Amino acid sequence: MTALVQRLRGAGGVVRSGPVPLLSTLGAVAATVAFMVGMATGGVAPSSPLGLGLGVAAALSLLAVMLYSARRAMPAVRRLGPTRTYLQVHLWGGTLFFLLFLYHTGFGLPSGGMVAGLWLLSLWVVLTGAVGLFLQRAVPQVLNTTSSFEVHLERIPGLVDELRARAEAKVAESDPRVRSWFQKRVAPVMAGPRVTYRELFRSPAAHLRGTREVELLKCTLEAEDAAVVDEVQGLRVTKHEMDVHYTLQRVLRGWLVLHLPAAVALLALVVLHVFFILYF
Amino acid sequence: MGSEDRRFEKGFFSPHRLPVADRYTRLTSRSRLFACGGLAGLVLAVLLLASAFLGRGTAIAGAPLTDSHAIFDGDCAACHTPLQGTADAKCLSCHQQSGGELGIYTFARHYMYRSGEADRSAADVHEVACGTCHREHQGREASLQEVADARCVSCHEVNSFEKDHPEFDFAVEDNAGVANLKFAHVQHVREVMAESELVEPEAACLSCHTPEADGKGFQPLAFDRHCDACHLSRSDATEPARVASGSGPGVATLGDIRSAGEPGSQWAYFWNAGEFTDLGGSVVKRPVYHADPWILHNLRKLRGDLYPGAELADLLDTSAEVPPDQVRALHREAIATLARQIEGLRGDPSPAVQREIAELSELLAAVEARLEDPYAPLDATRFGVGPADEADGVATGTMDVAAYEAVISAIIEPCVQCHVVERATIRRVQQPAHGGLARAEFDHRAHVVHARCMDCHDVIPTRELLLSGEDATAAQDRAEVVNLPTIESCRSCHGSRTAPASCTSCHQFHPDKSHWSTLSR
Repeated sequence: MTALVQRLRGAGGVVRSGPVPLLSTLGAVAATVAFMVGMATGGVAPSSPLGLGLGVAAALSLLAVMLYSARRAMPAVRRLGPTRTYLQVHLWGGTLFFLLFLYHTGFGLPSGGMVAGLWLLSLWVVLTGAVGLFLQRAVPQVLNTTSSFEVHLERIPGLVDELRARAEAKVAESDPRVRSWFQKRVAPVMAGPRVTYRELFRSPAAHLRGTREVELLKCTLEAEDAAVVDEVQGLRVTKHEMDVHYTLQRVLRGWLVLHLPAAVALLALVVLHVFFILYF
Repeated sequence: MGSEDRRFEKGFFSPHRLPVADRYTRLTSRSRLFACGGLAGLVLAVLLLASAFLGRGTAIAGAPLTDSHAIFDGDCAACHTPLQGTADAKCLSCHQQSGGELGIYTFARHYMYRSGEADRSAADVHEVACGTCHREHQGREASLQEVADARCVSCHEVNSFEKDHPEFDFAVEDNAGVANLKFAHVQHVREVMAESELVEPEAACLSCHTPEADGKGFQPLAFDRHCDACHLSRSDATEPARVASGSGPGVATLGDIRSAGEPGSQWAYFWNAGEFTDLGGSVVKRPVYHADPWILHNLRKLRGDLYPGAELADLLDTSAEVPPDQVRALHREAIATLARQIEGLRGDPSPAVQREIAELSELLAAVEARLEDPYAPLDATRFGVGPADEADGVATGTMDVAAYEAVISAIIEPCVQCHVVERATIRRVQQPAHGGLARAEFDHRAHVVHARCMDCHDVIPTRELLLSGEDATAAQDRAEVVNLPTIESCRSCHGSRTAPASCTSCHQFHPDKSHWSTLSR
């Protein structure tokens, strides 16, 4: 986990260094100055020369941002540079795109279906992108502080299966009361990976420590069976941590569902927008 | 329990069936996400293209068209040409009809602003399409005349009104010494306030300056309307002037004029002889009037002796100093005088007079025809009085010029209170060469709500002088001083934080609708 966080922090460091941030910042400053001058001399409309220039720059920024996704499928694009450069272009270019987009519109509210669609999609893509960036930074830190181990998402079902098997093996030869408790209380929990948003930020150990039912059960058992209960409880805590991993890692990967289709649709709409501008 | 069973029911204590692992971990693939986005984009494209080419285009248009163009809503082709945008030809297909052959909506004509100068145009080196400045799809309530400053300054070398708008023409023109009128504003304001017991000096301004209905300018000042109430009362009289006799220069009495019967002297037959006092060898006229015919008659007579070569000057009441654009009007003034003289002669049956009438009429018709030709060169100096017109006796010193000047001074004594007389000719009062803001809109009505006359018209420090009781110096307050505000005065209110300062606040790109008929002539 620590290694993962360090890697992510390292990625953050990469994001903040290199020519891309500098160029993006310079581009943003230049666009801001141009916009301010335009506003001081009568305003900036999307169709004014300055507005058109800003719009073209925004469209080019969007294309550059999309290279990050294109590099996975297109070897030719992949050869242009290392992944971190694509990531930098994706993040900084996305921010620059939204700034240029706002300047292009002159901060005017959308009017008409197409413009409203461009507005909403741009806003949605940028917001979900920001959320994704936040998740990429926050989730590893949360896992690092709440979990005692690292685990790969794809391995979780198998490991849960193994935990359950170990618990079943321990309970198989124990007191019938232990087997009954296991069947009623533990087996449903151990059945498979679970999404546990509610329990996400609660310590599993603290959650289980006060379980009066377990303590009462142990009072009625022989020492050997009570030890089995404790071992099963330990496996149950491990399973709970597995669930936290499962939940957060799914969020980390599932966030793209909100971001990517909207981004592709935005690109299509921008192409249409340019076509209509040129045609009409 | 066999291995096959464990695949679907893992854990003998649990009734839960466990699906295979990838059911838990399989997330939507990127290619599927791309496909979803592409599909959404495709659907949007189909809808928008259908709206553009099969429907009314409302989905791709921005806000609705303005009220004026609302009839074209949904008819994209009415204004848009594929791959050419909004071509001017489509605009002019309607608007040119309104403007007539002059094409007042063409770009070259935009320099007319609202000055009404129909012959004013400019080369179209900076020509842009109508739609470049007149932005449509801004909503029903939007104004197409609200052109953004950015459009104006893309051609005009002005960045903003506050910083580098050029000074008004009238503020930079040199008007020194051209008024030919002795007039002091402060003195008049003071006297009008005292006479009418006014408290506010602005009321004194309005006693002479009558606003036009459009609020932009003021009615022309005229002696009869604005000066007569105070000047040339019945007590004003000429100085005693020597009556003409064989022994030297002098004036013609009313009787002399009647008996001479010269052209243009018919007025003398109807004039009240009681206005003249015979002092025995000299005469006094009381009262005198503005453009008094007796004074003017004698001025012409005396000028005829001193400047016999300036015969044409007799056709004018004042000198021939006019700006180039009024030379034609000067000729018409002379023609009118000549026509009156001809009319006065028609009652005389003598053949000589009738021949003269015929000759004069022919001459009059020729001059009028010449005036109708806009390209005919006209020379106002022919009506002037100059050294070349002097009598030989003046140059040789055989004529008693001082005696002439004494007589002239006597009869024009009431006139020179205001006028300048030179070479026995009253010099024509010169109106300012400008007419205020020729190319910009200005409405006094919108400004007097916020400011008083002298807040802006402060080139002559009238208010300060009234408060201090001091007299203005000759340099401060004379007819030549144009008491119009400079652009700095406007900037004290018109700026980004107070009153509007956009180009279209004052300047109009096209002529006002009210000028259409004028422009079409």
